[in-house]
Amino acid sequence: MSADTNTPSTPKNSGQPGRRFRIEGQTILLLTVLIVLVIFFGSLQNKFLTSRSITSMGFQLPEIGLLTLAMMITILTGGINLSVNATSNLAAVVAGLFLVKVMPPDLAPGAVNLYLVAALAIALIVGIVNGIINGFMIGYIGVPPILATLATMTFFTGISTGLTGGATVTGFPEGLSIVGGKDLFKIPIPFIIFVALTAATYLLLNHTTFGFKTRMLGSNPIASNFSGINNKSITMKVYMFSGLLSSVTGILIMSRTMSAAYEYGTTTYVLLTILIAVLAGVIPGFGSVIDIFFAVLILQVLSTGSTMLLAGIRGSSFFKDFAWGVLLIIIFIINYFIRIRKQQE
Amino acid sequence: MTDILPGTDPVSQAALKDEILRAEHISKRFGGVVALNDVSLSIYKGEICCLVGENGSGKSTMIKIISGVYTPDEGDITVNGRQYKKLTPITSIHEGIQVIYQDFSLFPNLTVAENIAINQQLASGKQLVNWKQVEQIAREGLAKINVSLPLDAEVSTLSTADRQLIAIIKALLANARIIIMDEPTTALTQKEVAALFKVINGLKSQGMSILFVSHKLNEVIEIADRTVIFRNGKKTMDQDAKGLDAKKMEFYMTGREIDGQAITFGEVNQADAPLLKVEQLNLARGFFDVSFELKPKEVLGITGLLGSGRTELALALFGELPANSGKIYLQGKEVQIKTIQDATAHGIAYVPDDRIRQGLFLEHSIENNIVVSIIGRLVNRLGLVNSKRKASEAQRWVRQLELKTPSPELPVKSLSGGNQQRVVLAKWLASNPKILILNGPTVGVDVGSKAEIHELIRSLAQQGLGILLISDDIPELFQTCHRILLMRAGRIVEEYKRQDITEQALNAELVAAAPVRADASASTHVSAQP
Repeated sequence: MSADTNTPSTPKNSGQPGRRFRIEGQTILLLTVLIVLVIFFGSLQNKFLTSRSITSMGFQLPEIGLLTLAMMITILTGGINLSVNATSNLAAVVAGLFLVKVMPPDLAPGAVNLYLVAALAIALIVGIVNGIINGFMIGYIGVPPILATLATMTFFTGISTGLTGGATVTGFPEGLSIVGGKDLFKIPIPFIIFVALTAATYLLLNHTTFGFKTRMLGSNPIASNFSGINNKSITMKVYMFSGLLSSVTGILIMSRTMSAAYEYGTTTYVLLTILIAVLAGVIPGFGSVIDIFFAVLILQVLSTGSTMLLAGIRGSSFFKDFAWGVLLIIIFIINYFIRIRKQQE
Repeated sequence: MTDILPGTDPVSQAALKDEILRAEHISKRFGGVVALNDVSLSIYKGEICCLVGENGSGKSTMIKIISGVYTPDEGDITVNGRQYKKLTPITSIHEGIQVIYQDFSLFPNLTVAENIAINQQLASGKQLVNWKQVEQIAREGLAKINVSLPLDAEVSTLSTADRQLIAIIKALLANARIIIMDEPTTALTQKEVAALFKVINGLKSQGMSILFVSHKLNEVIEIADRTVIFRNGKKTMDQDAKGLDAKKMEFYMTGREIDGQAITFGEVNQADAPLLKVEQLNLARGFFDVSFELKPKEVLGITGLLGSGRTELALALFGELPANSGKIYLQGKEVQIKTIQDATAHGIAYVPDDRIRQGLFLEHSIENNIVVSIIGRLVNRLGLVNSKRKASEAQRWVRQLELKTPSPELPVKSLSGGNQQRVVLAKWLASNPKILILNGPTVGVDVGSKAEIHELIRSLAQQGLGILLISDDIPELFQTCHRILLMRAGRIVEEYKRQDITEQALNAELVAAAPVRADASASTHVSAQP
């Protein structure tokens, strides 16, 4: 199989010395896996490489992709954010209720657009406020991130449930669907948003002092404190940014489904974001946004590919999870050998 | 006697004394690096053999070969008359070789008695713990080295010195014939070192052999029967310790003379206004009524035992443990230091004693470690980090502090202790501070680097910095300081000018300054006084 001929080249390529060896090795590995998967599914399923299937992937992957970025930056600081999905649902629910309950009916189109923009702003503010709550608990009170965000995950979901009474909010103005359902020059708008925010996160993490401090804090918080870095404020900003990215996801989901609900995605999404971050090799202090991008693509290709391949077979929807698990194990094993090789050098 | 070359071990000695272990013509390479090159080492019954060398000299590799962790590329090991091409950790233990590493490998959540007895209890294969037996084993163990420890105390509550004693007892109960101690005095106070030496000498008189690995030469002089020195993977000395002085050992360790006499101290202008003035500073459970002045170009030593409040004082000035009351003046102006950001904004820098935990980002590059405190100054007009300036700033400090590394892009963990300390220094020097607080600046640093760091401290002072140097390494204080403050139980009890006191006298004062607080009494079960 093509996988066997491609993977051994990875350690060779990454054997060159250099500071980003670990990260570059990871990127090459992920890219190789991606190419192998595309060739594999493309050769077995001629529907796979059609523009329709690619477009459909372009609509699906930004949601999980943005949530993964939201997860990744917290892992970089040595934390975690279990409330990413609860935040995106809460942002969508609050914005949705604003459109349904606050916006007066029978408005002129121009006024509707104003309300739409306001709704999006409200969603983003909800995300940032959620981030402030997380950041305050973790950075200032010192609650361990996993506990703090477990608490806020339940808390935010509870608010969403209470506000909606458990029902799905629908009946939004048509204009909302532009963000999550339309395309620009044949490129899905959600995908454009995802790429833009990935680029922005890359810039933030790799080229600003904030990103530098975030990575240093993640690798040794005691030393960063003793180096004059304000750990509290960095932690706060990281969780605020994480909340913001989560709320953008909420907007995309709301716009694509034209509905908002407390239960969208739930814990499956949270676990998936952790899985992708792990796949991309993110650990406290180290991790690359580019690797996250490729890892998201890999999971999407695997998901779409296996669904197509097994369409009509009973139980095929479970195969997706199985395939992700297998892939993760394979990547861990390859990483293990890369590390051994590196240690020997 | 000048130099005994490798392979010329005094044969007569072997005939006179029982040779327990002989490692012959051992070589070991890691990749392209030769860690040991045709080195031989013997250990005799009932002797204390000191193995000395700088970091990277091959000491640790030798220990690991003897204890079976590494397999030598060449050479044989003979233990108790049995010859081995390679030892495994299990055969090594069966032959009675026990290594006490710096972390002691104890269970902090178990009691003293449980820690001592755990191996026997496991070996007995019983499902239930026999508590009477546990206590009995623990008592016997303590009796072997003639100390008393509270059997029910959790090990996590004990001092480093007491944990070390437990590790020694465990080794003895495992029928050790040779105990290898890897840098055993690193985390001990002078008084605890004296107590440890008493225990070691007691073991020797019972016929135990000790391989004492250290680079603290004054301790080696005190304890060694025989001294072996490694340099760059070769044995450069192996001789009776009698008549060996520090200077000669330094020469064999470094291959060059480190001249202790030719030190030039910068002049402190007494007319200068003080850079830092501290008045009646207090910190609950830390220190009390501390007042002193620090002038520009001055190195002010602060010494005292662990628990004397010396570290707390440093942390108060650096904003990590803000003082409860008292005044701090910088260049005549009163300042509030409530956070580390306050301190750094006022030009106060702190080099912590726990380099690995508090000072460094081990996985990150040397470059990132150097620029971490000044990253905010290395941005372009758009607010983005200017990677060229970042790299050149790091390069500048690598050159200036003569950091030995192929590239500043390598992780800091690839460096030796002395070079790691230089990285921490560079991090703060880059911020262009006015006051530098150094806490134990050469802990875990080898002799050659130590002298270089002392030289650096003196020259930094000459350039106008005020330096507070906290240390209980008496020779270090005499190598660097103009004045020395002695702290005892949270108070400054004495001030000395360097010229007015001898190293011996200060040492006596320091040891006499043992705190009389309850928390320290647990470690005073062994008297340091002769």
